[in-house]
Amino acid sequence: MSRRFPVYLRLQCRRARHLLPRVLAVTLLLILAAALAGTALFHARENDPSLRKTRVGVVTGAENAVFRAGVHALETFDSSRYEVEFLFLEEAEAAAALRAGELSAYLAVPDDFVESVYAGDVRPIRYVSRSGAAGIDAALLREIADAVSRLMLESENAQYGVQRYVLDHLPEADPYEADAALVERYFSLVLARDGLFRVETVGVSGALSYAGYYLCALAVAFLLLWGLAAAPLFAGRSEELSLLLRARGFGGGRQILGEFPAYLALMLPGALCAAGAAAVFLRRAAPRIPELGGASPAALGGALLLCILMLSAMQFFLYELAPSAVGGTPLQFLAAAVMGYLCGCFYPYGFFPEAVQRLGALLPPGVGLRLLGGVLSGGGSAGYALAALGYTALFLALAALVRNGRLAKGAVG
Amino acid sequence: MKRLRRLGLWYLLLTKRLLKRPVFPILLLCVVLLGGAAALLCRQESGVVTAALVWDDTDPVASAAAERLLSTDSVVRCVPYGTEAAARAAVARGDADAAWILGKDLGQRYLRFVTGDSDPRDRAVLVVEREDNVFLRLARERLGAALYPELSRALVRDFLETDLAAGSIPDDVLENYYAAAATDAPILVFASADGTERSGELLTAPLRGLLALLAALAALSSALYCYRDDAAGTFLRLSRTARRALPLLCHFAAAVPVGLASLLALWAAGLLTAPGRELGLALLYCAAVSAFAELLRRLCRGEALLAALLPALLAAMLALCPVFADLAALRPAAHLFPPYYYLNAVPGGGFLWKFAAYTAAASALAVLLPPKIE
Repeated sequence: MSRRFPVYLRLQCRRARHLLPRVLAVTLLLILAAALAGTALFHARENDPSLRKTRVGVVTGAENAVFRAGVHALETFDSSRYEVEFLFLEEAEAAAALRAGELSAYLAVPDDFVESVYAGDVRPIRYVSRSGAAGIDAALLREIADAVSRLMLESENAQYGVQRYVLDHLPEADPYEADAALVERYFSLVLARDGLFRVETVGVSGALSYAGYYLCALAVAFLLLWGLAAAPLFAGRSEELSLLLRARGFGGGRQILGEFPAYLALMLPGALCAAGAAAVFLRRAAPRIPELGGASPAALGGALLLCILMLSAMQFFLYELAPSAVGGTPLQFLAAAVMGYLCGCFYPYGFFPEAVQRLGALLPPGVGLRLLGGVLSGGGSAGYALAALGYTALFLALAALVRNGRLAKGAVG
Repeated sequence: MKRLRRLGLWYLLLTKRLLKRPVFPILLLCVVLLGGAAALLCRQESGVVTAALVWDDTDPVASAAAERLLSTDSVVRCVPYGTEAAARAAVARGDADAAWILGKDLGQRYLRFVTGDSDPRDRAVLVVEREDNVFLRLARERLGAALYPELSRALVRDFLETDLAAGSIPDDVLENYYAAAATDAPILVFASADGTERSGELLTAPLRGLLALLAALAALSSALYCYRDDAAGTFLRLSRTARRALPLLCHFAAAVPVGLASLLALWAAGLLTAPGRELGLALLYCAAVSAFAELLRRLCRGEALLAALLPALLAAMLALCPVFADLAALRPAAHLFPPYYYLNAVPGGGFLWKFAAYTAAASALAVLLPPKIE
């Protein structure tokens, strides 16, 4: 290594130092905003218990008393009352509330729905949701609506079957009374359906809880987005200097080795600030993240540093591919969004098809997520730590290759 | 007319300036490919909750329920396991969120349940979960629906034999009556607020939001680029008025190709609704993000500050706009960001006017506000 290397490294660090105060200020601003948003969300949910539930509108006429009574019974006795809140509305109100995002969906029940069921010519209920509605709750709610629909269809079929059986074989029985008694038994059956299950909660030993998983996922997502702050460091690079240095025997590989520590020095303080703030916040939230009680802070810190190293190397390589602001920043975001999504930073990776899960485990954010998750849950993570180091070396080597290629062509910017 | 032609010429020149950089067209191609990949992703089996399913395959009642659970297209993904121990181990490893172990002689358990004789320690299904959460509680409704047909038959049998004293009814007679009355006419039909019958696919639902954020970032990147144009005096020869409005056109020229590529990606993913309306909305969105980017450029002293703000802005947009979730409590803050208006305007309704008003107000502010260049 020539004497030029420390000089070049110092020069790059000085450039990074120029950006550092703004990056740190924005980190603090983001932490403050996140803390305020978290507090607002928490207080809103604490003060208004209905915010914890999914809201579903019910549109039906006042004359549909039987249906209204059924919904009230669900709200009073059924296990779903803890998750779903029903609101009786006019259709225009329900549609407006749905558009405004105040309802997850609404049920438009024909006024003669119950009569049509008795008559055997059912006029279906419309389940209206927003098209392409975001969120897991929308998908699950649709699923539940489908399950409830199957339940109702089955009960209706049974009711017609019994009506026919009574007419054919039990002339002494009053068909209307029998029908009413059967409806009552079905109602009791549906309300008591939780009694079919014995639920055993075994705890999260060896695997991550949802809260623990999302802690790791948010950390990786934050690190993926954080690289965008360094755009001016690359867009403002002097191509003439790189060419001149190369002409004097200071090639692309050495330039990369001189620039990467400066980039890392820019990323590290912001990430560590955020980690520190998260640690203060998590101390309060510890009971909600069961793994935190047993995880070693030193091991977590080490895993986080490895993640920062690997993801910084990846971002550095992407900036080397597209250093200009107008191409580089969207490329960084696209890579962050696609990889973050596939690797489970936004939805748990268990949601994805198996092939995608396997692919996600191989990508850098997936390695980072599993590394943090392994340390948090107390499972093995040495393999992922090695993979993170391997990725770091690979990205730096690739960046050096790209730089050498550009220098050979005579252009860097 | 002459002015309009000149504006068009400037727009073409600014677009050409971007497309000349190889990375930009490659990026646009990647966006379109992303839509195709999302469509492929949707065809694969996926689910919000994974349940390890165990049943006795010699029991026809249990087999019928298992068949229903395994064959239904659902966000609750069931994976068959041979033994209770294997299913429990899958839950402990985190391979499955829950184990649903259907009890032996399920038909008899149903009968005991409908007659109220069931033993609380020996229920029809043993559910083993790692933790108690709302996803798993809701997923149990899917399990309940799969068990229900045989449970309903058990109730009918008990009702006829006990309540109506019909005596013992042979299985085939009961089944004949049950099946003869059976109808497939749906009780619930699904519809979207915009009148389409399109269902919101969970895995592709965030695609529109992510692409909207990418278009916003393209405009913001153009704002970074404009600082360099200012420093280099690229547009110094233009009149003062033209120089005030030109950055908006620069951002628009950066956002429009990304917006159009995003529309193609949405089409490839099967998420495009009415193409004409979507195109109009996309152009309005490009105008909104251009105004937003220019407003920020005028408020920030230098590219370093705006670049440092980018991750914070994106994190805020991801959290506040309905990309992955719609947080009602934080909605007032979401009104600051263009993706919020765009994503809410797509399903239709009164949001379009709010969106247009936001774009007009942001554009006026962006042109009138004096820049704070270092």
